[in-house]
Formats: sequence, C-alpha cells, structure tokens
Amino acid sequence: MRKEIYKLIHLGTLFFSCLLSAKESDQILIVYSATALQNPVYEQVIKGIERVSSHTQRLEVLSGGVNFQALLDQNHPDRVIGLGKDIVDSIYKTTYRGKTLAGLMYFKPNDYNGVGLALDNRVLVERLSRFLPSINRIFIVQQAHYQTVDYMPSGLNSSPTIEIRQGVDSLDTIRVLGQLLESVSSTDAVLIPANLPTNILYEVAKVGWERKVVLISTNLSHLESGALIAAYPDDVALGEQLGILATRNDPVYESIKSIKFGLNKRVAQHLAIEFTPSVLDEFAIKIK
Amino acid sequence: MNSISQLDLRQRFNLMILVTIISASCLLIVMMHVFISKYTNNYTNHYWREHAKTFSESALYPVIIGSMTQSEAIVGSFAKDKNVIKASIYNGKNELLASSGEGSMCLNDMDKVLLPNDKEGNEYWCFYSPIIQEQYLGYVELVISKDEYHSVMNRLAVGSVIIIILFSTCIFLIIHRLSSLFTSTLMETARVLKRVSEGERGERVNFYGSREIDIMRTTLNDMLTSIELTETELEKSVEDRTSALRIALESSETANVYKAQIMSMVSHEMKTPLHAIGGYLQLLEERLPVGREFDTSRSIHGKALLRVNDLNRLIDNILLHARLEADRYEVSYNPVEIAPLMNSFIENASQLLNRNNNHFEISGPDGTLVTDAEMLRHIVNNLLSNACKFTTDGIIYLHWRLSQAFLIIEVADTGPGIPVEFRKNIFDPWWQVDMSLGRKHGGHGLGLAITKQFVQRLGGDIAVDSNGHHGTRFTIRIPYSTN
Repeated sequence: MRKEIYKLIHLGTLFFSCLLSAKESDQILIVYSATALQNPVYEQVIKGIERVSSHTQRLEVLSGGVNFQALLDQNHPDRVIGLGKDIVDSIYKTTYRGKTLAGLMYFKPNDYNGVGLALDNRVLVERLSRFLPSINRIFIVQQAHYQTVDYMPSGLNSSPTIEIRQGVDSLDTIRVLGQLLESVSSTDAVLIPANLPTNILYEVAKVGWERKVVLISTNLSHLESGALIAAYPDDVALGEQLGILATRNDPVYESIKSIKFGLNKRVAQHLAIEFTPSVLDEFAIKIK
Repeated sequence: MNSISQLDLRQRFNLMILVTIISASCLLIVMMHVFISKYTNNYTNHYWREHAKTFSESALYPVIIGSMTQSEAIVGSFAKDKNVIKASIYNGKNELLASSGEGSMCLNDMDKVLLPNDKEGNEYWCFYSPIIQEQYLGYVELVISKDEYHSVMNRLAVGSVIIIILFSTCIFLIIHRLSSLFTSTLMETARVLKRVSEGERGERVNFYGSREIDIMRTTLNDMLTSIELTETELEKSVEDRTSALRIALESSETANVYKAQIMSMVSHEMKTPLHAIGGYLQLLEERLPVGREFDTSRSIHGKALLRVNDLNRLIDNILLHARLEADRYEVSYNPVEIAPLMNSFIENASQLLNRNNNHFEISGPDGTLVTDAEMLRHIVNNLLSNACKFTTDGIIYLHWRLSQAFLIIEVADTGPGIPVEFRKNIFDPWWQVDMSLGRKHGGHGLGLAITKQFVQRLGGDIAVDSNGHHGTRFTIRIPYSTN
C-alpha cells in the first residue's frame, strides 16, 4: 500500500512538473533502430517517454544507408531522443545535434546530452546501505572508459564508504578486481564490472564465495553467477527521466536515478545475510 | 618338402588350413594392433589436448591477476592425475608462474613456441595450450606419461592374441571336423581302389553321410561288384582259352615229334631200298649187251634210274627240310671267293639251261667274303633250277653286288612269272602255283621253302617281284663280313 502511494505521488509530481515546464508545442521524436525493438528494454523506455510527454512521435530506422538529415527534416522535431549508440552518433552528424538527447547507452557528460546507463552512485549507496547495513566499504571496480556507475562525491553518506578502482582496459580491470578480491574482507562489498567475461566471473564468484565477500553487479545476469545483488536501471523510469529531460530548455547529462535491485537468496544464505520482509520487498527480482 | 609329400590328403589339407589360419590371424593381430594403437593414440591425444585446453582456461584468471598462489593451486589440481608428469603455467613473457615439476622436458627454446603445440617423446607426450583473453597471456604445459597408454595397449594386444587364438582354434577344429567328413570319403575310396588294384577281392567302401555320399557309396560298390564279375568271367574265359591252346600246343608238339620220327624213319626206310634199286638198275644197265635190239631196254633203264635219282633228291630235300625245321642244321662260315663260286653254280646248271634252250647272263664283282658256301650253293642252285625249269627260250640272269654290309644276289628269268596273289605263298612248304595232278612242271614244293630257311639261317631275307613285264626276279640280301 505504501508502495502504491509512493508511486502515485511520484507520477503526480512528474505530471505536474511536465505541465509546468513543457511547452505544449514541443514535438519530441523518438528515434531507434527497427531491429532494437526485439529488445524489450526499448519498448519499456519508449513507454516511459510517452508516459510523460504527449507530443511524441516514434521513428523506426532501418539499418544501413539511411539519410538521417532528410528523415529528421521531414518530421522537423523540436527535440530528438535517440536510443542506442549507433542511432545517436548518426543523429549527431546532422543539424539536429543540439536538439538530441541520448538514451540507452553509456557515455560521459562531455560527449552527449541525455540519460546515460551509468547508475547514480548516491542512489546506489543509499539503497545498498539499507540492504546491507553491515557493509563498511563498497569497492567499485570498473573500466576507465566503461563506467557503469557515476561517481559523484557530493552528498554521500559517510557509511558505507565508496572506493573506485579502475583498470585501463578489460584485462587490467580483471587484474585490479582479482587483486582487490585477495585483500577484501567479509565486511566489504565489491561492485564488479558489468562486462566481466563469464569465465572470469566464475573465478571471481568462486573467490568471493570462498572469502565470503559480497559481490554486487550492474549486470542482471551476474545474479545467477554468484553476485549477491544486481542493480539495474528501471527502464520505464529511465524513459520518464528522458522524457522529462526533453522538456527542459537546457538539457544536460544525467545518470540513472531510478534503480531496481535483484537478490540471490542462495548467496545471501551462504554469506549469512538476512533481510527483513520490508527490505526483501524492495528487491524487484529474487532468485534462489 | 619331403615330409609334406609324405602326408596324406587329409593331413595336407589340415596343414594348409592351419597355416592359412595362423597367417590370417597374425595379419589380423598386426592390423588390429596398428589400428587400435593409432586410434588409441589419437583418442588419447585428443583427450589430453582438451585437458590442456581446460587447464589453460583454468589458469586464465591466475595468470591475469598474476597470482602465483592460485597458479600453484591450479597446477596442483591438474598434477593430481597420476598420468600427469608435469603441469606448468607460463605467463606471456614465458616466465614460469607455477609448475609441478622441474625443467622443461619437451621444449628447449621457449621463444619458439608456436601455440598450441604438442610434442611427443618415447615415454611421454607434451601438450601446450595458450592462455588467451582478448590477447595472448601465456600458456600451459602438460607432460603426460605414456605408461598407462602402453599398459592399455599391452593388455589389448594380449587380449587380442588370446581372443584370436581361441577363435582360430575353434575355426580350425570346425574345419578339421568338416575336412574329416569330406576327405574320409576320398581316403576310403582311395584305400579300397588301391586294394582292388592290388588284386584283393571283396573290398567295399563303408562311408556314410549325406544322400549324395550314400549314392556315391552305392554306385562305387556296385561298380566294384561289376568289375569283379567281369574280371571273374574274363579269367574263366582266359583259362579256357589257355587250356585249349595248351592242348593244341601239346597236340602240335606231339604231331611234330611224330612227324619227325615218321619222316626220319620213312626217309631212312625209303632211301635204303632206293639205293639198292638204283645200284641194281646201274648194274643191269652196265650188263646189257651192246646192240640195237637192247636200246629200248637201255632207255627204260635210263628212265628208271632218272626217277630213282629224282626220288632220291626228293627224299634228300625232305630230310633237309626236316633238319632245318628241327633246327639241326649248323651254319659253317668260311672265306669264299664270290666270283668263282657264282661261276661254278652256272657250270652246274648248264645242263638245265640247255634243256629248255635258255641263255644265261652273269655279272658281278669279285671279292672275298665270309659266308656258308654250301648254303649259298643250295640257294642259288635252287633259284637257277626253278628259273630254268619254268623258262623256255629265254634268258636267265644271275647278278650279284656287294653293298657295305650285304651281298645282294638277283636271279631273274623271262618266264611266265608268278601271279601277284600267289607270291605270299610260294615260300610255304609243299605249295605250288599249279597244285593239280596234271600240272606241266614237276616238283614237290620244297625248294623255295628250303631256300628261304637257308637265307634266314644266314641272317638275310628274300623277296620276289616281277622282272619287267614278264618273268620273275628273286632278290636275296645276305649280310657278310670280310674277316
């Protein structure tokens, strides 16, 4: 009940903010690859965009030999939301670059405007502190050019502390992760890279299992391979975030604010971590 | 080879089968061993190559993080296998991270390793597998002992040999049994036929088997019975014939003995009074007074004496023929001047020549040869006598020549000749062309028979043919020597 009330308040806030800030005449064009619709995430994100903005239009682009400039000129949108890196890069080559917001891709604030897939560390830490109160340190291991978590030092709680460990490439990242796992304790949590290869993930999970280290991942599939908790974007919320950002006059980069969590109960049992029912309810996915 | 030839059909057949089975078995064992060895080697190689790949995948994480502890743990887990002699992990700089053994058994120059790479020694295999994660990170080395492989191969070889020996033995025993079934028929047939060929009677085959073999037994036994019956009948027939011949021979010999005795007795008993008659007639003729009125008596006496002489010659010829037939005439070889001898024959026959107004032609070389002159005289005189007797107003030829080994004498005349159909009979005793009582020419048919026997006694032969369109020519060929 409390969750539903929270949801209604949230939607109401979004609705009114949209009414206040959006120009009624702004036309938002959502551009995505026709083949991308096979991925349900796209549909969810588009659904979120359309939920907060009534003046939206979908544009499915076939792959290969597409004149984006002509396509966009035909629609003449006030704002473009490109989903997927290839689509965004193509649109950025047209005159609509300044009107375009990127979505469903990892990027740095300096490169594109829009909502990146990297999670907001503050939200992440805030939620993890609720889930895992015994954890003192959270190590975020990621590749320098493939950041799945945006680290923003301001507004962080003192506990648990966050430490970023980066590798220059995937091998270096694995090396950093391996060495880190040799030194952490059971009061530490390690956020492993989302693009960790399966074979390495197996080894990492084995070490984590043996050393009883909490492994967290931003890749939902890692939940089945030994990670305790998987943090992943709320796709509809991501769409809404994109839709709201599109109504703003000065769109900037934002990281994902709404995060879902999954839990591996078998790992939790091994690590002797117990969750209250209210906390358990906050996990969108729970596997045994 | 001799020992093989001494074996009978069944033993040779069994030996051949045994040799064939042993050869085939050996070939099969070798082929099986080669095939299994190759297959097992390939299979084992494949297994350990995959094992090395698993090893490299397991070593990936320790190599990436450069953890020697974890590398050693991985090496330790892989080195637990009893077949693993050595397990090693090397990083991308060929630096050893962990190893279960010391030294490099397979590769001396690590810089030249082209991965993946396998090396094989006599007692071990070396397997290499690269460690790759986006890039080459190092490699693992697995040295595998061949002991178990050899042990398996040896067990397989021994097992194969035992199985093949058992199998071959079974096959041999079956074939031996079958060969006994088939060859026993032939062997018994051969045995019985051998006994039968040796003259034993009552031998029969007793083999039994399929319908065809039973038919063969019955047929063969029937055939043997038939042969024995035929043989018995034949023997009886031969015995009868032999008995008849013996009787005939005995009769003939008895007859000959009687004939010889009669001839001898008759001749002796005839010659004695004949000589007396001849002597008395000679005395009577000498005592006849000279006078015309006694000419008739003298003529009768003369004819009587002539007949006595003819009868005397006949008896002489009969006796001579009997001596020749009884093989009681000895050949006496002496050196003879051939030309004077032939001339003396002509002189003796001059009275006969003049009787029928015949001319005489004689020709031939001179020379000395060794022969029986008396026999030659009988031969030539007889032929000349016959020629003179049957030729009138004609020519009598006597020619002789000496070839390298023979004295060849030809006596020819221009008389009526001998018909071709009678030429084969003229040398038979007592045979004449004209056998009638009223025949024109006298004679008793012994002359040519005696002549032929003389020629044969001298080792020669005599032939008769026509002398041109008329007359007869006798050709005698007698071997001679000069010393």
